[in-house]
Amino acid sequence: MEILYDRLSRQAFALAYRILGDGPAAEDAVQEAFLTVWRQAEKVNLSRGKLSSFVLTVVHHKAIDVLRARKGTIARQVPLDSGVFEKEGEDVMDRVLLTLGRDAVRRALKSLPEEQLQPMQMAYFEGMTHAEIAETLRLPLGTVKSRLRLGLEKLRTALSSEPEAES
Amino acid sequence: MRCEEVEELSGAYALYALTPVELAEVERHLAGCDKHPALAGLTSVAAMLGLTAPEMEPPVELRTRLMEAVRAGSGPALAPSAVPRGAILQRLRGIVVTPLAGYGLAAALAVVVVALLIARPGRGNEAVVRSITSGAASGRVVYIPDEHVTVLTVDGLAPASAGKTYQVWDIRGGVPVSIGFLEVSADRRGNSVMRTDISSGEVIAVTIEPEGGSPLPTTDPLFKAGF
Repeated sequence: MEILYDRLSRQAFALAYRILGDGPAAEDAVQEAFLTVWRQAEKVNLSRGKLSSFVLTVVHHKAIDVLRARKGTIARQVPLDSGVFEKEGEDVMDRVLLTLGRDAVRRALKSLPEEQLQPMQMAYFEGMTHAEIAETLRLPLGTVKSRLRLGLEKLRTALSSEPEAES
Repeated sequence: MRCEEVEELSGAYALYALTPVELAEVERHLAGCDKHPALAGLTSVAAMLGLTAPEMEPPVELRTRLMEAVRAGSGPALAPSAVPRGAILQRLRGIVVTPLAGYGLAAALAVVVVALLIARPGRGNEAVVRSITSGAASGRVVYIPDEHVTVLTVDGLAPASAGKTYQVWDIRGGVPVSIGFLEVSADRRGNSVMRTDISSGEVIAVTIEPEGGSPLPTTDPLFKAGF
């Protein structure tokens, strides 16, 4: 647990802080997230990259839950299951962390059309649901669903076509 | 919910942008349907967004608080015999990405553990390593106080015969307590990761027992390692 924490806590805390905007709340979210991961330790069987994805996703969900609670909306009741990542074939996070580097993610995001990037960021960092995004951007719900999906698929494609960083 | 609807919601699902009701419906569908491997991948892609936040050092107190919570039992309740072996192996494997393949995980594990602790100078208690031998078989017992974990690796040991098993004991004040089993594969290598604390004066021992294990040792130890 300590090893996992030491490896991922800086990124986890940065993510929670970015979403929540205050240290104590970010700390609580990170602590809860790591405890959630720890409680699933017996069944977690993921590669390094997938484990990082799992931890960051749990931190993200915890932080968004807090953000939504502040707005008076209901948080999920059941923690994310690590099994979601076991079904995944390719390990994108592994490739990014081990060979591409984080700048590759920033470059890939910049390559997305604004109409896809904006709703993705509203969802991921502001905790808005697709319905809230549709209302805010005055777009049909179906359009927002498509843009969120297409944006992620393009991000995946962009990262797949990134050349590996020279060591 | 139909497969098409799940696919339509895949982006919002991966970005955690569904309402709790929609989320529950999607997850219920996914639990019983294996036609959406790409959707699982999208969740990892969404996690990429989390990497764009520049790293920040959390307060030191957070680490202390978290570890205290884990030790106080907020983590999984683990009986000594119900060891999360795969999870710990995976965790240790996940830290070291150097090519250990071919060396054998069992043999590599002790090296990895020791390397990890050497790589973290000034942090907590160092690993305690004991060598063990029995005939042509040899191995090591590595106790990692910070992780409350003991790793046993052996090489050159024949797999247990049919109906038998290798059982691992922590002998405390002369009283043996079962802490797990040692699996040995056809290549005569074995490993066991056990969640346990070892105090000074205790002995880790391995005996051959009937399959399923014994409440107390019924044979003389093959290996013994004093701490």
